[in-house]
Amino acid sequence: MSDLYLIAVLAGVEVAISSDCIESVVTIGDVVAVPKCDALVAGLMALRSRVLTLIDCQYAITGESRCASAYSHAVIVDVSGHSYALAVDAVRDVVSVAPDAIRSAMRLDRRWSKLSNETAEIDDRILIILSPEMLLMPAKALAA
Amino acid sequence: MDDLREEFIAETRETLQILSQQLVLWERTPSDHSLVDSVFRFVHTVKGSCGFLDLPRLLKLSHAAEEVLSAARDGHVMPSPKLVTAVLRVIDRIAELTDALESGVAVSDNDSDLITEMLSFLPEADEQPVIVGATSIEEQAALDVEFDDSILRNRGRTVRVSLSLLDTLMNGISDLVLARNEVSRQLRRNDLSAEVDVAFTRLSSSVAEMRDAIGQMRLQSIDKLFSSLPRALRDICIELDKSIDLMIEGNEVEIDREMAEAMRDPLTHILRNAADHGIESTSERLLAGKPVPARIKVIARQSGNQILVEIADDGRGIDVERLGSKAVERKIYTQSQWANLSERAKLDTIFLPGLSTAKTVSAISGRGVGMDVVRTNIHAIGGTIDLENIEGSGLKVTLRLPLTLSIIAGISVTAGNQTFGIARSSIVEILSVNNRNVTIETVGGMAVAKVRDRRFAYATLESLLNIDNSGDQEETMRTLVIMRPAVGETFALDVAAVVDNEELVVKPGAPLVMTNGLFAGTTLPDNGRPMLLLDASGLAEAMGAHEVVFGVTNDENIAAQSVETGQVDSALLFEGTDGATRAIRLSVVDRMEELAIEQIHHTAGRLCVSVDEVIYDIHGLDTLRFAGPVKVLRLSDGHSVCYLAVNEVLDIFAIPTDIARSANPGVFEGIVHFNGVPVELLSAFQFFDGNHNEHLGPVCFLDGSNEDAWTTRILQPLLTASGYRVTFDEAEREHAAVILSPMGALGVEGEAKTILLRDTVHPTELNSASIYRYDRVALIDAIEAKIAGAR
Repeated sequence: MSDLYLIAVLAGVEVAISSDCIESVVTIGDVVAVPKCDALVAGLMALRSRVLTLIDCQYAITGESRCASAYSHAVIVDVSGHSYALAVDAVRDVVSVAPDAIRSAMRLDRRWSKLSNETAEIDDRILIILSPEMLLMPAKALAA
Repeated sequence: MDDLREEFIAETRETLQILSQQLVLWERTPSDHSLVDSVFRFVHTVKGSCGFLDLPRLLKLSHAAEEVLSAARDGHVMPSPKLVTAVLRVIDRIAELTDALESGVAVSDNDSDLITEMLSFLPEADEQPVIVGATSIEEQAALDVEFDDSILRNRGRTVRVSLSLLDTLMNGISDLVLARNEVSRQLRRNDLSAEVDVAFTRLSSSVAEMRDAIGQMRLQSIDKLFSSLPRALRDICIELDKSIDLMIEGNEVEIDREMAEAMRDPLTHILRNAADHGIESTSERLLAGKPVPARIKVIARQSGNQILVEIADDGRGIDVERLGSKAVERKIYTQSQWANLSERAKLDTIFLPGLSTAKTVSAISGRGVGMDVVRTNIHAIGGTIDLENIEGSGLKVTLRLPLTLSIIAGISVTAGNQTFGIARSSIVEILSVNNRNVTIETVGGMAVAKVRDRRFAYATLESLLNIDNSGDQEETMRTLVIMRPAVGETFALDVAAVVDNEELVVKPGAPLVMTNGLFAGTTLPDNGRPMLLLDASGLAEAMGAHEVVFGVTNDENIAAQSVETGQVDSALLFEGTDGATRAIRLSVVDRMEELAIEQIHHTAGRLCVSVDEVIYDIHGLDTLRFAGPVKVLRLSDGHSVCYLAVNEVLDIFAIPTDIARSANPGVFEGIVHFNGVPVELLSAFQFFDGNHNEHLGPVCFLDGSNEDAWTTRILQPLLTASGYRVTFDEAEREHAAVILSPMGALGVEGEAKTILLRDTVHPTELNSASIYRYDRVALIDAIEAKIAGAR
């Protein structure tokens, strides 16, 4: 049994995101800014009758904020009851990854080690598996 | 019991449905042991609940089925269609009886045939079936009577619906409301015929009704959550050998079902903490003079768009210093960091992972995993947690929870180019900044909005939210929204414009968005652009409205009083000797005088004036002046007189009804307005406080030298200030009401009016009847007692 992973580009880097936690991939429409808030939050966007929190993934990785309008696609994930839209540079593909191709991450550098603890071997390449939980609930992931 | 029975009925019905499916599957694949296992488990559960609820008829049926299934599970009986049919018949009968239990209609059928049939499948049929059958016949009548009882309670039927379905329904209705709003806007724009209007109104009202109904579906009384607490506390009490009373208030408060579930663990945890850490052992409580049993209060109430749940215990509270040493020990803070923390921040360290003030780890708490998890959980549902610690007498934990998924009436306001929602329930008033009744002034760097006679803390929304406001700001008509938060003082929020008035479906925002405390949630208005809902309490805090000294709450009282008495007080405006303009009530001013500098002198440690050979206090002068006459106001409270030095008398004006409270009520009665300028109104009280004009007061003879530094510098001013006349003159010793004898001046014992003073805190055997000379209260008490005795 192999799992499906979405390959997306974040801050110029291809990463894999488990399809288990992905609800859908959407184009980013109108984004409303949230004042006085963590820079990780790029704003709020509507998806039908739901309000999603748009996450600036580039900021999470590089620490440089990027304007919400500079993103075009977002990956919708559900983390502990809240829906988030992860703004990504691009969405490449959905691939199936065999469990034995997934390793717990080797030495990731500081910024990435806050976002992932696993890698996957896909087509002879090693991709980082982004953990939305770690991205969105840093404190909780730390405690666990 | 009724609740349990209802639960049982709902559960059994659900179970039976699955059971039938499983049975049928089992019939098809008899070799599948997991199936027979699960069927057995189901029947066993039903049997267990029947026994627990004392439903013998159901018990016998399920027992028979269980026995057969048990045999089948062990391989003694092979599954056959006949067997499955028989089991299904039993299940049908159970279903019938369950229905009967709810509707109260008696099922008079005899179960013994079913039971006999059931047991005939057992490999070795012994006497058991006969016995079971016989008893069941005998008990039939009695059982039917029991079911007759339930006829009286003809309850509404219930179904159990999954929360996710409810959510879908709720989202659906939100979409519907949004669509309706959109249609409504289109209709307004296109001005259609009356028929369309009527039809739309009907649609509108049914949507509203449905929305209400669905809203109610999600609500349940908090009682369901609280009902588990007494039991939980009972177990804790037994384990810890403590005796605690639990008081629960506010059972009727309605709370979102999901919220109730999410609250369960944190609430139990807080309760455990209170019982384990907070409440002392019985012997400690007795020593401390506290009542046994201890008391824990759990109170729920609804406040605007929040639910407040308070858990208060009367235990020892949090030992903040111990918390500090723990935090330092764990290297969370350094000693100096800790020392610089605010009281609140110190208290909040209890929420850090790995900290606990418990000396020992008990089975229940003290491992330091807990309060951090509690706070995380409460934050996750959009709530906040606050502590109110009274060391030694208890801790109060207040949980503030939003009413999630609720639909509230709100207005939308703009700041910069953004739109925000405000719950209408928190709004007192909306007015234009240009309104004649509105003035915005700055007192001591703090902006204050004066609306008619009241003052509020004031800020623009842009400044609170750091929104760039440089653009089209200049001459737009801005709007003032007066808001009263659930917690904190009423304040005035200056927004660019109020745009709309609509119903908003509020959902909690993601924790990332909510952590700044300024937002109450997110909402999607009918324009389809997400909008943040502002949290009134959060804004008040950001504005520092709680620090504002203006006594908004008192204004009404004062205004009401002056209306009642119908009289207007006047105040005298003057320039004080320090150059500041102040006011004092005219009623205490006798007249204005000019005193010669020679009349003012230093006596007994303070400035006095002698007028007509009587010495009066003079206030408002810091030092003796050496030139010119001094302008003074002669103040009188009807009995005594004192003087207040001023530079200039400026004006007399009527005191407005709104006196803003002063931060220093001893010195200033408050702040009043004179020609739009805030002026401090001096409290006349302070000038007469402790001043009874010495020449009239009882005489205190000080036994000792008037060269003694302590006697002249410390004791004499104290006595003078307390209204006694002080003398060192031996001639007056006879007439003195009290003789004070500082230590060293011994040999005056025997005189009843003598009070001995000592210079050590604790008495020695030499001076056991004496009073410590810095114990002002005891000293004055003793003097008063001597004076009272002398009369």
